[in-house]
Amino acid sequence: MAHTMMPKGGRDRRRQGLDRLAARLIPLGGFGVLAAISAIFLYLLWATLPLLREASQTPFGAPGVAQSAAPLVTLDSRGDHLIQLDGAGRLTLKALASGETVFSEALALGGAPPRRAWPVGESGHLYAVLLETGAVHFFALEFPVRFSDGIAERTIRLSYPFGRLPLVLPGGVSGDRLQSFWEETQLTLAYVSETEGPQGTATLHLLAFDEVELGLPLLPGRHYRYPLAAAPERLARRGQQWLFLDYGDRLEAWFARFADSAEPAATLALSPATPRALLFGGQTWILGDSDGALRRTFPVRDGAGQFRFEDARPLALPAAAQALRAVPGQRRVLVTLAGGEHRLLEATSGATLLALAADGPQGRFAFNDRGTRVARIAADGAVRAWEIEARHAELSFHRLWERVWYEGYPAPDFIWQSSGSGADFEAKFSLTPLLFGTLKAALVAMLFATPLALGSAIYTAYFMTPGLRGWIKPSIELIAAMPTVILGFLGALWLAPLIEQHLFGTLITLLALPGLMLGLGWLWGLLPPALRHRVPPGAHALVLMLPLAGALFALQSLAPALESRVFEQSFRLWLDARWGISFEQRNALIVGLVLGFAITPTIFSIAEDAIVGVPDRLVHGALALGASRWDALKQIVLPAASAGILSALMIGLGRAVGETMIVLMVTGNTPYLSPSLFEGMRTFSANIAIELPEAEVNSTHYRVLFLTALLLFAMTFLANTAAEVVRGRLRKRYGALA
Amino acid sequence: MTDIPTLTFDPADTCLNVEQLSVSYDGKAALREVSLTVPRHRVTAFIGPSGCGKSTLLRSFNRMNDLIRGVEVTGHIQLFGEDILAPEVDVTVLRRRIGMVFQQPNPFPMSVFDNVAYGLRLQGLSDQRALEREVEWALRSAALWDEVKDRLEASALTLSGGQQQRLVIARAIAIRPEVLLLDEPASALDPISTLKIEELIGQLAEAYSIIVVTHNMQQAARVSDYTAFLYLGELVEFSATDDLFTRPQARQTEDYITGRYG
Ligand SMILES: Nc1ncnc2c1ncn2[C@@H]1O[C@H](COP(=O)(O)OP(=O)(O)O)[C@@H](O)[C@H]1O
Ligand SMILES: [Mg+2]
Repeated sequence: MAHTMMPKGGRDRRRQGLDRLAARLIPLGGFGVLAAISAIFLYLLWATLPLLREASQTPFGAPGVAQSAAPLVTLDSRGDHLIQLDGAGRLTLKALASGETVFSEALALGGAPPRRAWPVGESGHLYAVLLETGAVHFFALEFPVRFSDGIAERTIRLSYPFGRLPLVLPGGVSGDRLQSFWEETQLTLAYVSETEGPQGTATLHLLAFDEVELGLPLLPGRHYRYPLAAAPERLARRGQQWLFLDYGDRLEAWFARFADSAEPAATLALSPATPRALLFGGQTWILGDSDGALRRTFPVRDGAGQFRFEDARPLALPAAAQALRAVPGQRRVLVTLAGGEHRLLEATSGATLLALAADGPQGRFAFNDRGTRVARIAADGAVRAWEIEARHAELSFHRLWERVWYEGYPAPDFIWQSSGSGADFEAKFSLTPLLFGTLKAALVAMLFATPLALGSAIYTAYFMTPGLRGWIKPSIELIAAMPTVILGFLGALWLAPLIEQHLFGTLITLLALPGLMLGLGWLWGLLPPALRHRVPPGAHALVLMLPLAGALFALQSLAPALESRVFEQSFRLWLDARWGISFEQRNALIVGLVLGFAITPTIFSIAEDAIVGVPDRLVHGALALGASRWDALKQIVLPAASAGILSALMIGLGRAVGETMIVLMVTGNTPYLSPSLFEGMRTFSANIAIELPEAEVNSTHYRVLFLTALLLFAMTFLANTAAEVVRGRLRKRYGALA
Repeated sequence: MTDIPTLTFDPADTCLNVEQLSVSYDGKAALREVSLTVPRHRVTAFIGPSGCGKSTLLRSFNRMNDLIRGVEVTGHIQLFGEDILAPEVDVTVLRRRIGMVFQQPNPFPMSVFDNVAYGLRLQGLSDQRALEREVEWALRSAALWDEVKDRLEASALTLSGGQQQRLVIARAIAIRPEVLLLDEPASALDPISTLKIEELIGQLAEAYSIIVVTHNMQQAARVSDYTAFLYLGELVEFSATDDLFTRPQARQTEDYITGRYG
């Protein structure tokens, strides 16, 4: 029919309008998807980037004056006030911002001058004062908020929580050798008294008060005494486990628990000139090396149960450390370098948080225990303060990816442990075991799914009768629609215990299955052709299913007898005894089976479509040249379908990497790096699902979780891009088939 | 059915001998008791309207019908005296002796060289020199060598339709079959390519027994020595091409060649 320029009817016009609308909407949809993906990526990046931010220091408040030699100079927890106790027993609080004195009162110390005072506990408002008389006094500073006319106002309250009477220490304190530790309801004082006696020249005293409560008098304490050959120069304790005796030329680590007799668990010899500081947490000593490195050393239990001091990776310094100072509440140390310059370092990563020009080795520093403010009191009493922004300074590439020797651990290791009890818990963010777990889960799943999915796709697309194919394909695809939570649930509660009971039977079945199938196929080929031709082509699978099921059943029934014959007891015990392979109920084998099962339909469906899509005329061309069906499959069909098969595998892999519900329920979620098939793992996705709801918003933990999400995103993105490139090549090679 | 005008050849000059061949698909007859002999080293054409069973007959010769579900074949076909319908016949060997070219060019998604070498490699030829020699010979025989000799490694899919069809012919003759079956080899091609294919058929007839299916009577008249006319699954007439087109013996043949059915 000739084309005529007829006036367009309403229908034509409407159709044209729809066409134009579609032409605009479809690219819009594409851009929308792109924009959404970019937005997700940017959001993840935005939440992650602060991890990379360098620490910053800003001068804070007005310059002031303080006594650099006063018994106490410190900051309160918020860092609002400089707290000073002078040699006459007067307590003064100055607002750091303005330099004004906001509180000044003489402490009721019974007239005795204070020698030294210090905060008790790492973040309390309780302070201890050692008097020149050797007695100990306690006071508390609180900052209650009072509302007047609807305006909140912080006030200052001084109190004597255990009463106004000093605590007289039995035996008397020798010099400054007194140390306190307070945790929950127990207050412990450790001190040294020097006495001439038959057993030595000094005694270590531990005085423990239980059920301590602010506002109630101290109950009589338990008192333990241990004779010492010599008096240590100092005592140090900042954690539950250890009390350190510092003799100048050696450090002794004592168990800080109470027993009738005690002795040092580990000893470290040192040069008396070595600068040293006990880090928050009370395990790690930071030691200055003469060659400009900072040693990090802590007691570690060795294989024989003995403790030894071990060194984690040292931190590099531009010059040798002249002096080290401990910092409250944070794993940080203040280093005075040989040139007199001061640096505040994050002791875990070595990051510099604050750098101050040389102003003499004397003087002191005051910190608030949240790690946000630092005040420097120079030898002449001049006070300057800084605000520090270093939320994520404890992270480093080393800590995210490499083996880290954490304090108290027997050896360097990859550890993910994001939360723990106690204020001094050190979070451990090693991404390596999570990355490994993610890849392990995905690879085992692919190991199970690939042969199954591709085998069935090839059979269904290429050999099966169309009738059978017509209901097999939708049935398999239906599995993909099953909620993964159900698969995870079945895997964890039904399959995992079942396989635990029948481990040997399961393994030999999995190993024997491919062999059995090939064997049955071979036997089939030996049957007389007349018999074989009775089975319609493409229905062989159904016919062979029966003997296969029979063989598997026989194998299962024989397995227990075989197991007890070969391994004497059980296979699991043998594995453990012979190879040291431990077995966890939730393990990679189960993950492989369940996750593999979950991704099989996806791979199957796409691969099957790709194979069906190879035109028949190519197969016929090969057959007409004398190829067998198998030849045509290998040489023509599979190469021509390779692009589609590859994308099927990539999409399957992407699902396996990102799948959450199944791995959450089936892997055991143990964040250990173990290549064993019989142990579990924790994946990025499961880790995010478990921990993100509990992570404090904008904390390091929170941002590290976002970093893992970003990695997950990047992994799938890279895998898909790589697959797309390869697919493009394959398509170019085998393309234009239609 | 002795009244069907037909020809017989001396057994020494007979390539295929078809006796009482009937083929049905799902019980629906496509060929009914067809008997004919195909001469050796000649071009035989099968003509007839669409759906009359030409392709079915052709596919019976290399047992490609076996691939169709629900097909039923009765009767006998002998290739140089050997029964080829017997169940114990190895079809892969049979198909190496009887090459086939389809209506749609179907080069494999590989290089030109690999396409032609495919059948040779299937037979276990792996020596590169020998392969190169054979491929060149086949491409020359298919009158394609001069056009592709500089792009042997290029994908076969980059060739034009007519070149693809000659490539497929080269691929078929590379393994030196005894019989070459061509099922409407030029129907998807332009007139110039068609002409080339027809010339090629003429050249190949010197060495091969060729059967060409066509519904184009001029083409049959141009290329073939003998022509069989099929109608509704039955052989109506088989004679020398000149005789069939000038002196048809059956009424139906006459109606067909004078254009009385479409
Ligand atoms: N694969 C098949 N399945 C079912 N019927 C077929 C098939 N191929 C051909 N037929 C039928 O057989 C008859 C002959 O077809 P065919 O040999 O292709 O004819 P021609 O090649 O002469 O056009 C037609 O009726 C056709 O519908
Ligand atoms: Mg046809």
